[in-house]
Amino acid sequence: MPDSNTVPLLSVESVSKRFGGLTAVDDVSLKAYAGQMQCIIGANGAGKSTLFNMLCGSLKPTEGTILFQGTDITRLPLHKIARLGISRKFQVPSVFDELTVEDNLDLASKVHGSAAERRVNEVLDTIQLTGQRFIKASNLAHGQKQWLEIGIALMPEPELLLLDEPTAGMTRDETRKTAELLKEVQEGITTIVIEHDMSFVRRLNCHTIVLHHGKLLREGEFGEIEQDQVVREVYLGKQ
Amino acid sequence: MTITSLVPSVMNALTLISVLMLVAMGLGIIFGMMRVINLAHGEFVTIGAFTLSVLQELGGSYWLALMVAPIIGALAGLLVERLIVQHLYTRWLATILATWGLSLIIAQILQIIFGAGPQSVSAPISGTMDILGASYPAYRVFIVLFSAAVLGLVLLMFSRSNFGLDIRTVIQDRDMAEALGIDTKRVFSKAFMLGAALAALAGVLVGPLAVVIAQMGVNYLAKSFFVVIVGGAGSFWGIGAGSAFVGGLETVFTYQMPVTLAQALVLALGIIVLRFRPQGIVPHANIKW
Amino acid sequence: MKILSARQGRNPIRELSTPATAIVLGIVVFVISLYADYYWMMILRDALVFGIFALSLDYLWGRTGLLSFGHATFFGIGAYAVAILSTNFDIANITLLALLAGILASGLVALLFGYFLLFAGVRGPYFTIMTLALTVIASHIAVAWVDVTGGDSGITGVQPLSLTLGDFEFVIFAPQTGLYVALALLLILLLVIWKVATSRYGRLLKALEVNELRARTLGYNTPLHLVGTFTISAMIAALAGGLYASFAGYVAPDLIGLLLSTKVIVWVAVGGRGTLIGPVLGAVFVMQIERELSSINTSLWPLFIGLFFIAMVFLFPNGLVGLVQDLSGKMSKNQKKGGTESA
Repeated sequence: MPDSNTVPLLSVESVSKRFGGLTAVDDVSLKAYAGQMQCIIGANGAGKSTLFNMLCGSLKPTEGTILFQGTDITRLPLHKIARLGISRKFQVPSVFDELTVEDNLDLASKVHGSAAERRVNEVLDTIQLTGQRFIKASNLAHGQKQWLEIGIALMPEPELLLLDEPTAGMTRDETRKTAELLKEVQEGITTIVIEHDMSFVRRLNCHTIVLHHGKLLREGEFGEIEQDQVVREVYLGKQ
Repeated sequence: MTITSLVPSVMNALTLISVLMLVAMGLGIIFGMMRVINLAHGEFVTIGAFTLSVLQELGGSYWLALMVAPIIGALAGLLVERLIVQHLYTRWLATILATWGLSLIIAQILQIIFGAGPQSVSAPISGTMDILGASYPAYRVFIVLFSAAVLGLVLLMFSRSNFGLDIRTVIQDRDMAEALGIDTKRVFSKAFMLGAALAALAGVLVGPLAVVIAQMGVNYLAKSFFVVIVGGAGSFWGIGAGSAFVGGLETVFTYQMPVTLAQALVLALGIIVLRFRPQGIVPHANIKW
Repeated sequence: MKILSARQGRNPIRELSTPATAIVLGIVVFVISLYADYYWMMILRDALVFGIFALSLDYLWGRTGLLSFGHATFFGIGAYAVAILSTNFDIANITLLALLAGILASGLVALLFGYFLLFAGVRGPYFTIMTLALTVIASHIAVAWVDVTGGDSGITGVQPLSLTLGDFEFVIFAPQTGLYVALALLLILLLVIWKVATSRYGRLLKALEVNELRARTLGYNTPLHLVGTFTISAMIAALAGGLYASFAGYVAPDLIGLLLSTKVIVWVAVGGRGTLIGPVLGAVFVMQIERELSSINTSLWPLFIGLFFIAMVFLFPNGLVGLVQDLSGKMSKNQKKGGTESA
């Protein structure tokens, strides 16, 4: 764990989001340090996705601030947040169906020309889709689409990687492969994963935040969280 | 400016607003329910006005037309819904193209049958009446009062009847409505007929003031869609706000400039409003019917 | 299976077919022009101008998926700018200057319209409906502002395009000259747009159509790109309108109204949205049918268009070109199966 003197890469300071009368996220604070991986878990409706959407800018918080590398990004438009080096993988694979795997990655590249081509090759290798390079994204299998999504998120060499349920809809085997993939690429990239598949989170075995009814319930290493009585009652107990 | 001098402009605005509300109500509801865009909606207005013309030609009265036109409009709506719209729910582009094709066909058939010239229609009430010291055409007063009564009934139906509740539920969440056992397609079908009937009714009301030709529908179409978009789709008050915006401003501007310029200015202002309120003046989430 | 579909996404054959077809089109038109009489020369010239118009809509609709139901507004702005300025000012090169002014004016209207709507997130059906309102109002203005636009009867005596530089003078008066100018402009635009469409930027525009939110989270200022495409499309439409006015010598409100807006959608749909050359051919082809049908009875044409839209939606949603592709795809599949299934 980094000591408290280090400046966090991302600092979420008591954000709340209300929709009409409903408070989806209630006064949540968290910090992400360079190179760290953490998971946000919680039952459906716990506010995971709302929190996540605020981190990447597609929802604006009702209250609170989000600092990235010391800059206030709370009210920045989506594309400007992306340009600062925050990459996102959507829950539902949202690759560009009409384009090839290669073009999907190329569009996500921050560099052009031969540098872009090198980066595309690297990422293709990482996500193991080199053989599918010229195939239209719509023709990929579901798991492959998820990996392409991760590849798109990796392309610009982000500072912060936000992954929304990277294993949604995957088979057991694909889930295992994805966990390995994430551990591999995570070296050096700060990563926040939203997940409700506990076996997957167990595989990642990282710093974990538990949300419950929009509030931060517990925070700690997964091993501790798993043993926590309250967490077990409200969340794990249901498994 | 005295109150008396304000009466004509206020009444003109109210006339336009009430007609717009009648026409746009159907569009707004069916868009809110199923995201369906019906470009043949203007033809329901035309059908209403032509019903008036034909009935008067045959010696029938205006009042008869006022009763018959909504029925014909509803039947036409049923046909359009069954033959075309129902099959295209999830494809907005296809719906736009198909209903636009239908709009061209209906207008052209009417023109072939009745000719390209304006049809003769006459108002049931002539002369003026006294409002706060100003004299104002009695027929326009009738339009405002009659529309207000009809819209009041529509509002009552939305807020009190089971049918209205069904419509609101579908607008709120279609999946939820189906889970609750509401036959959403049937509700939509009925709402579509209601919208067509209201537009046909508006056709009878405006007939004596407008140039009744086969191509008249498209003006009402463009304007009432504009009302729905600026006001906010899927709610009674959104359409009310949109109608007030479009009808009110257009009337005010018409006193200062040619009517076409006034319309262009209203369009420009509406577009600017949308920049700041993309969901319309009355966004749906805040709606209380 | 996977190997077979390799590079399918880039579809090099279809993309390379544009320059090839453009060259063939150029040669065919040129050969016809050597034999055509005055009347057919005019017909062909107008068809090419409307081909440019169709191309302008396809650049917008085919690339970004935004459908403008009011594209005649921009065609009309170009046409009326040329007509109004060239009949009111008597200075050298006035028609050419008016053409440029019309293109700029059209671009400005599209820029403002697009800025307010597209940056507000107005997309899909909403955007389409707003363009419809735009064209209805534009045609009202053309009809009612009689002092300037000539009202219903329009403006006659529009000056032909000419370029005067010192002693050098070039006037496009004969239909044949107009035809060559229109052909040259059309081919240049086709190649430039093809170049853009097949570049990384073109793929970005496609990506916007497929999933705008995703493109935005990759750091692209997507509304800006949509506004830009809309503006360029409107400027090309105005170029076509201005050319038309200077060639024909007159303008009338039907150049700015909803019916022309509808026609151009038909041309693009018939030719195949997103194929660039298809809409150009669609314009030529459909206008010829329109002429034939209208010579029988002028009221047949709107009926025909109406039926076409309905038939297209239900029978061949990918346009006629798509229909031909589907059919030929089916046929070749059947052949591969050894013809066990009869077509």
